[in-house]
Amino acid sequence: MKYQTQKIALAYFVVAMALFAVQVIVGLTMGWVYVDGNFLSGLLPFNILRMLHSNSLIVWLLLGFFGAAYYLVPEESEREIHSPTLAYLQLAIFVLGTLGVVLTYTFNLFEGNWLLGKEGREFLEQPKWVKAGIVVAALIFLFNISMTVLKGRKTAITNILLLGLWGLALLFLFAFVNPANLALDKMYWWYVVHLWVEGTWELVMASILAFLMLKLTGVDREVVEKWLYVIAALALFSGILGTGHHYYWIGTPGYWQWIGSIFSSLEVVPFFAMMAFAFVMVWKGRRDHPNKAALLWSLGCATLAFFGAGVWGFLHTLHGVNFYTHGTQITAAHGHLAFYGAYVALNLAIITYAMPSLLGRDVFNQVLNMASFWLMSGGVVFMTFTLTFAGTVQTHLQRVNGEAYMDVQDQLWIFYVMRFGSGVAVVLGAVLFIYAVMVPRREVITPGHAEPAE
Amino acid sequence: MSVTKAWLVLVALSLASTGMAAMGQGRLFVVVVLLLAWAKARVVLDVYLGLQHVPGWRRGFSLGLGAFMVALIGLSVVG
Amino acid sequence: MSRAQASGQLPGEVMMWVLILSELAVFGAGLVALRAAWLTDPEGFDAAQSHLNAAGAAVNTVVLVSSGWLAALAVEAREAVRARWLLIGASVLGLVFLFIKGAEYAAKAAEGISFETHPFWMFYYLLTGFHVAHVVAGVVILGFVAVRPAPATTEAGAQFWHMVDLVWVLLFPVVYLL
Repeated sequence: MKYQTQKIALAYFVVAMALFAVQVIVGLTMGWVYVDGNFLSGLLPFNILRMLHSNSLIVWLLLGFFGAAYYLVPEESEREIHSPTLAYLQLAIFVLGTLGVVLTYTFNLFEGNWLLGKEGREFLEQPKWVKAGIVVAALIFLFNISMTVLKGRKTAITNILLLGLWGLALLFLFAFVNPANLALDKMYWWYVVHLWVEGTWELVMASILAFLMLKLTGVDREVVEKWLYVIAALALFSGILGTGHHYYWIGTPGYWQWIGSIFSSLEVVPFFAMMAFAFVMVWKGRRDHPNKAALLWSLGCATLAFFGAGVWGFLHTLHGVNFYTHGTQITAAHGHLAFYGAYVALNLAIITYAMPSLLGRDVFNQVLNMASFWLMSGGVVFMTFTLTFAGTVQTHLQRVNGEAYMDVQDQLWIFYVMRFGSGVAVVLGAVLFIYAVMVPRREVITPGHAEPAE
Repeated sequence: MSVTKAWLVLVALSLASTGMAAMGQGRLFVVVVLLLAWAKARVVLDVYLGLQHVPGWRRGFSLGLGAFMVALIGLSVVG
Repeated sequence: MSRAQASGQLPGEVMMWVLILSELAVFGAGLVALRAAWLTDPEGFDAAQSHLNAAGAAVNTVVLVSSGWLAALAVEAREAVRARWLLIGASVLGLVFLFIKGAEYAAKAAEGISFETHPFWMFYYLLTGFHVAHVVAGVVILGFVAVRPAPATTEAGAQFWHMVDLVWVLLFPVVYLL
């Protein structure tokens, strides 16, 4: 750690990992609801569980991005963060808001209150005061990071990172638009969600990945920067109009079917470029960095993002296909592998890279961390396959044969049981990861001595 | 090829395809018009965009353009 | 040619080629989709297409390739003054293209033809509309470059303009003639 204020990242990463644990445990609970439909139905209905699962995911990923920014911006800009106090204030606002959301929804507090209660929406569902808090926290963050970057050295990595983070924060303002018309509500919802995960977040992902490659492989900055700009251009070119692939069946005009199909098919290109980038850098690299686990997570991130977001996304993005598969378990399969590959693995990569220096330790815990990578990734990939098969069967029974929804769900039971099993592996992997980065002070396996061959 | 010669070729090819359109329809017409468009696209790529000086990239673009034109001709002829 | 090179490197900025390839992929996919959709209703598509005036579009082809020629000459120009006039000429021809195109759209609007009339018209408005947006952008870019023509900016502007040209020579026969 070259700069004192990089330490801010530690608080962000710890909170992020705590929420990660909450997210996967709630996910596992939901996995059981799929197996036994009445489980917890009186206490915590499925829609609340799903809200907790997806919102805690989004919040912890964002906290990870903020932490990553606080960690890498000082090194890139070659100066301390503008104001550590503001950074901690920002985190406090986020934690308070998250608690507010969870309590409000779990116990349905302040029902009907404009400021404090639920909005009654399927998504972007936070009380207004929390939304306002998110905006305030985002403004604090942007001010803090932008001031640091403006006063220091400007690099391609900080340029693209700032572009992504500014876009991310500004797009969230659409969360305040809440038309009574449900189709319009959905339309604006995608301005936030799609333009996040298939636009601005990709810029954040590319720049963090570029930072990791720069540090881990020692490839020249010039080479890394050229890739980074190309990836950012490809992501925006395909991603912005790719929003159309959410407008097939919600009441928006028919031309979205073609705009969405064509542009979103191209969304696979930036993810392929990121995978190619990561592998080419490793092959070209001359540096033998001791943090092998961070390298494993980085390569795993780029690869699984390509398959989860790229290939599994393309699988059902053409409107002729999506007419049948829309909202089936195919979507769930894509969602899980895409978020895991692109953004979960990315955050775990930067956490794995940064933690040893944040905690003032040598790079020890490689074996446990790498084991957690294979356990968690294996679990998510297995889950993706079971859900893909479930979705294929569901599409045929429900959309082609026209059987009733719940009758089909009964026939998918075996897939849900297997998915629950893979969920157990993911939770164990996540717990192992958190243990591996936080606890051990020495390597669990003593390295063997190289003996001369006889 | 110089850019001026390329321009003359492009104008001549454009007049040829317009002339074809005046003469009538049919499968042969479809194929000829698409072949003329193919030739125009090659001239723009090679001369205006300068690919004639970079043989490696020129081959790649030619291949992509060729696949696209074959797909178009195929789709237009079966109809 | 001034930009001739034997190094095997693409002329100009890499980013321009990323853009050119992306645009070609989008328009190429759109044109193939149009021909594929045509197969589902040949009579309907033929009937819709017969309302188009191919003569105006054919004139526009000549206008655009001529404009491209002026832009290519501007890249080769030695003095900035000559480059400036060539760029202005190229963007004026771009305006001519837009004028003819505008007349075509006005005629369609007068006939009451819209996005919803028939799938052919949806493709027509999407493909030509997206292309026209690029022509507008190209005219603006060439105008900006003409203010103070430097070799690098002139080349980038001309490359964008040639891409617009290339898309049109492929789009024109597929939408208007076949």
